[in-house]
Amino acid sequence: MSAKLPVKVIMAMAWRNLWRNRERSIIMIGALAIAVAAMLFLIAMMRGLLNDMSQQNLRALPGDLQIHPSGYLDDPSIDYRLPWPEGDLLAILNGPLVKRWSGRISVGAMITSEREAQGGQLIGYLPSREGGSSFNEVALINGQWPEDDSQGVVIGAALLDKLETQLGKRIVLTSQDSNGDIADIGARIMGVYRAEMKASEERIIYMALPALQNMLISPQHIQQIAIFSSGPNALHTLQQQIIDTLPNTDVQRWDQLNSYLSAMLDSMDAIITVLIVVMFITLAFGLVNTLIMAIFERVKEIGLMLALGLRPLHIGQIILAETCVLLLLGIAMGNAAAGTALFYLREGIDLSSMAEGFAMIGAAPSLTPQFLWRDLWLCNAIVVGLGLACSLLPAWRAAHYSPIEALYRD
Amino acid sequence: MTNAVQCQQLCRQFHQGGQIIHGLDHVDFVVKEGEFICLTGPSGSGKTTLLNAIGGLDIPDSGTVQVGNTQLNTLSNSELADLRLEHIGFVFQSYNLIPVLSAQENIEFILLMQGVDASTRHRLANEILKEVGLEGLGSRRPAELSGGQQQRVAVARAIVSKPTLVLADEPTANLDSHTAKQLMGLFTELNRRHGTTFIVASHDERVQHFAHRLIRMEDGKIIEDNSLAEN
Repeated sequence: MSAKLPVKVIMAMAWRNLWRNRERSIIMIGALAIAVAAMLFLIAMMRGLLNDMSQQNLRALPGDLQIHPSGYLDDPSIDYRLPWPEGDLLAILNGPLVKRWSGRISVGAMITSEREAQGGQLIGYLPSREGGSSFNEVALINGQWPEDDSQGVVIGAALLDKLETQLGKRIVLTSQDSNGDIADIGARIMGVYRAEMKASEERIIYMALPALQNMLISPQHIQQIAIFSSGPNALHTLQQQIIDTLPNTDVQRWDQLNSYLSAMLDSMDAIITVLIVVMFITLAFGLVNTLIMAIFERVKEIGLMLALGLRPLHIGQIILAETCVLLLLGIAMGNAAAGTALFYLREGIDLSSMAEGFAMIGAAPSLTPQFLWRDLWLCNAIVVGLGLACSLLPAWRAAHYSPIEALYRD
Repeated sequence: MTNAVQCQQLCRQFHQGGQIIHGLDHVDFVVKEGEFICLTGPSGSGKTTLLNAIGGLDIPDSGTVQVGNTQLNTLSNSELADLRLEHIGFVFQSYNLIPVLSAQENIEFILLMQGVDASTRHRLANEILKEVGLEGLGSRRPAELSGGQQQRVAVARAIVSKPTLVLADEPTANLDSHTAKQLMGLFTELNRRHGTTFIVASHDERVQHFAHRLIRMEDGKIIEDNSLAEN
C-alpha cells in the first residue's frame, strides 16, 4: 500500500502553510501582483503604441497596399507617373478584395504666403472618391474640404501659423512640372485641419487632384494608387493579382513600405516574452528565498510526515502546491490591478505635452493601451511556469530529507 | 507465535565532538507478535535509536532488522514509507503533530493516506478522540492544545489505524497520572483485543507496570531482558 494524498488535501495544506507566516506571504504575493500588473500594463502600452504607429502609418501612406510607377519610391517626383486605372486593374480595384481605393499625386512643394515660405507636401486627391476628409483622418476645424473641381487648398493649423496667414487668404504653391520646369499657382486657403501628428499638420496640404494635375501639366496622370484591402487575409492575394496585371510597377504592401515598423510588430511577441522573463527573473530570487525559508522552518514537520509514511513525492507536491497557490494569488491580484488600470485608461492617455517626441516615432500624442487576451495568458503561463521551475529545487530538497535527521534537527 | 520484530547484531554509531558514541552496540532482540515491551534505561542508552531502527527511520551501520517477514535493509525509502504507513504506528518523543491540521485532521491523516473513506475516517477519529479524552477538541489546532493534549492526539493517531506494531517513545511524558493510566489502558486493550505489538520506550514506572517484558538498555546494549507477569 502506498500513501494516498488527494489533491484537495494537498491544496488545503498548501493554503494553510502559506498563512503560517502571514507577513512574508503577503509581501511575496504583493511583489508578484505588482510585477504581473506592471508586465500586463507595459505590454498593453507597447501594443497600443505600435498599433497607433501602424495606424498612423497606414493613414500616412495611405492604405495597406500601394501601386507606384517603377522608380517613384527612390525619387518621388512628377517624372514618375501612372495612368488612371482602367481595364483589368480597374476590375480588380472594384472587386471583393478591395474595400476602397483612390488615385493620388504627392509631390514636394514650396508654399509661400505674403510673409513666410515653408516646404511641404502637396497631396492631390479626388474628394468624390475619398470623401470630404480624404483617407487621412484629420479633422477640419475651419472652412471646408474641396470638391473635385475646387482650386483651393486645405492646410494644417500648424502650417497656417508658420505661414502667418489665415483662412481665405491666398498662398503660392511652387513645384516642378512634368516638363521639368518650375510650376506655380496661387490658391486660396479654403479649409484648415487639425491632425493627431503635428508633423503632418506642418507639412501636408490637400487639394483637388484635377487642380494639381493642371498645375503639373500632367492631366489624367497619378503617382500612386492607394488601396485599402478588405482585410489582412486578402492582402497578399490582391498584391499578386495586381503584380500579374501591372508587371512594370511597384506594388507594395504597407509592411514592405515601412519595414522598420513591420519588423517591430513581427517581433512584438518575442519582445514581450523576453520582457516577462526578465521581469520574472528579478522576482525569482525572492520567490526561491521565500520557499527555502518556509521549508527550513518546517524541517521537523517534513520529517514527521515522512516518518508517518508519506512518500518524498508527496512532500514535493505539497511544496509545489504552495508555490502554485502563491503564484495564483499574485497573478489574480496582478491581473485585477492591470485590468482596472487598463479599463480606466481605455480612452487613451493624453500625452500632448510630449507630442513632438511621439511624432518623431510616428505615433499620435494620445496613447491608447491595447489589451490582448493572449498577452494575459502568455504572461500568466510564463509566471506560473517559471515559478514552478524555481520551486523545483526547494521541493527536491524537502523531499530528500532523511526523516530521522529532519525530526531530530535542532 | 511468530516474530513481530527481529534485530540481529544491530550497530549504530554517532560522531559527536570527535568522539564515537555507540547508539546501538551489537543488539540482538526478538519481539513476538502481540508482546507489550517496555524499553527502559537512562537517557542516551539507545532506546530511541533502537525504535528508529525498528521503524525504518534510521539505517543501522551493521546488522539487520526484520519487521514481520520483511527485511528492512532490502527496502527502498519509498518501500520503507509504505511499510510504516501500513504496519507501524509511531508516537515520537517531541515533535508529533502537523501544525496546520486540526487534532481530528492529524488523527485522520494516517487513515487518509491509507485511502480510508471520509465517513469511516470521521467515525474512527471521533471514537478515538473520545477514548483519549479529547472529545469536543477535534477542531483545535496543535497550538491551541496543551502539551498533554497534544501527546494524546499523537497517541490517538498512532493507534487509530490499528497497526500491527506500535513504537512509542515516552508516550506518557507530559501527561498527568490519570491520563497516563487511561492511555496505557488503551494500549493494553488494543494489545489484548487485536494482538497489536507494542514497543514503548519510557522511564515511567506506570508504563513498565503494563508491559509483558522489560528490557533495560545502557550504552547501546541490552543489559537486562525480563519477562513480567501479565497485569
